[in-house]
Amino acid sequence: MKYNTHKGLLEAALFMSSEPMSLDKLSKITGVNSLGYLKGALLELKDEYENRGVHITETAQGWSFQVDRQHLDKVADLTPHSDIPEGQKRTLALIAYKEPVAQSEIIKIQGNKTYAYIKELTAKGLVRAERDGRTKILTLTQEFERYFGGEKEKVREQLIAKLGKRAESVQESMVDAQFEKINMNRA
Amino acid sequence: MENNGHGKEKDILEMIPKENSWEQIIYEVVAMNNLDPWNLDLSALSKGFSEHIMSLEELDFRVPAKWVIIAAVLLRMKSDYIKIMKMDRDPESGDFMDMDELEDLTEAEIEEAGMGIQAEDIDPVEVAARRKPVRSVTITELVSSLKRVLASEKRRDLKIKKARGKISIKTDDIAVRIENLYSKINSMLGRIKEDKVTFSSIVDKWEREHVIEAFMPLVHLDNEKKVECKQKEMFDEIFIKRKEGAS
Repeated sequence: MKYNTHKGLLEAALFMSSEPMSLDKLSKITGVNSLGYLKGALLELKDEYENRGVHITETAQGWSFQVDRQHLDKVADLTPHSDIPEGQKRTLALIAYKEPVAQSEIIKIQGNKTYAYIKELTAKGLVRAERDGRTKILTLTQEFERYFGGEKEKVREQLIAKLGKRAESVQESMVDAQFEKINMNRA
Repeated sequence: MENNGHGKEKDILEMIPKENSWEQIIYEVVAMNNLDPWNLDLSALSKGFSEHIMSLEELDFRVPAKWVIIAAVLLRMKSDYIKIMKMDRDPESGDFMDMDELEDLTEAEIEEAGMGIQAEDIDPVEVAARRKPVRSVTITELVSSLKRVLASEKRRDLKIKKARGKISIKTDDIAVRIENLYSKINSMLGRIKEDKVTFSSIVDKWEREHVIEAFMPLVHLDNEKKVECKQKEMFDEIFIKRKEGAS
């Protein structure tokens, strides 16, 4: 098969798949064993989509088509399917809001199923979990910034701004909770 | 198809109210009237039937029900029989043949001319491959998720507070309760002029709460060796005796 045919096949595979595709998977589809060759073709495709409404992106989970962030709000309603399920989305929102935050705190709010969500978000490269004593400290990654098209501080600002007054009361209750914790430790 | 005055169809319409079963009607169509069930004009039959229904003075739902079954059976028979025809050029003149011309040909002639093809010979229609569109999460969605998780946290907190509020813990001083029970036992022993009282007599009301309220200080009194409790069998009556020398 010629190089352009391979490139077309890669493009078709990425277009059809609803999930990011690893180089191994793409290698099986195209029948090309050289991962370097495939990566080269993918990078070339990526360049071709540079100034388009959709882009080809590489994440921790693989290669995929993604809608340009600046158009996303306008076309998001056209499909109900997002690449992050609701449970994981809630965990990510909490982490983005409270970062850096202890895993135990998120578990306390969202329950035990959050362990699996954090694992998934870490696999997607959106969250970093670093051990800190008996818990883990969760922070956002560069991939998170790339995914949301801005620095994490700006994303958080947007979150707080959109939450409005509710956020202020939540922040106050968080401060109260901190004081309560300190007082309990003193006692 | 034959359309000469819709004669056959009319016969069937007249037959429907008279015959009891749809099988009988089809049997009549084929055997008695010598009609070809595959060569009936169903649209003419439908139209005639509508007119027939309109003309009826008394409605009998069995009539339309029977007709629907007959029409369905006839349609099925016809559709099973019909071969899919393709428009093709006349082998001799090279012109396209129209449907009327094709209908005049026998099955053998169609086969011979290679104009008739079986359904299984036709390639399946190619359906365009569609992807399930999956998109990235928007900031607005992230905010909605945050709102939902914070709201559920608030609801859970309220639930916990409410549940905690329901549990009322008695903060009575056990020492006071022991003292009160001891006085009660002493006064009862003085009143009945006996050396022992029964546990059931010192319980105000034989209910779980009252039994526990009396039993707990009694255990303490026994432990402090102010009284001596005896019970022959488990769950049997407890006899309470004041210990010698107890103050």
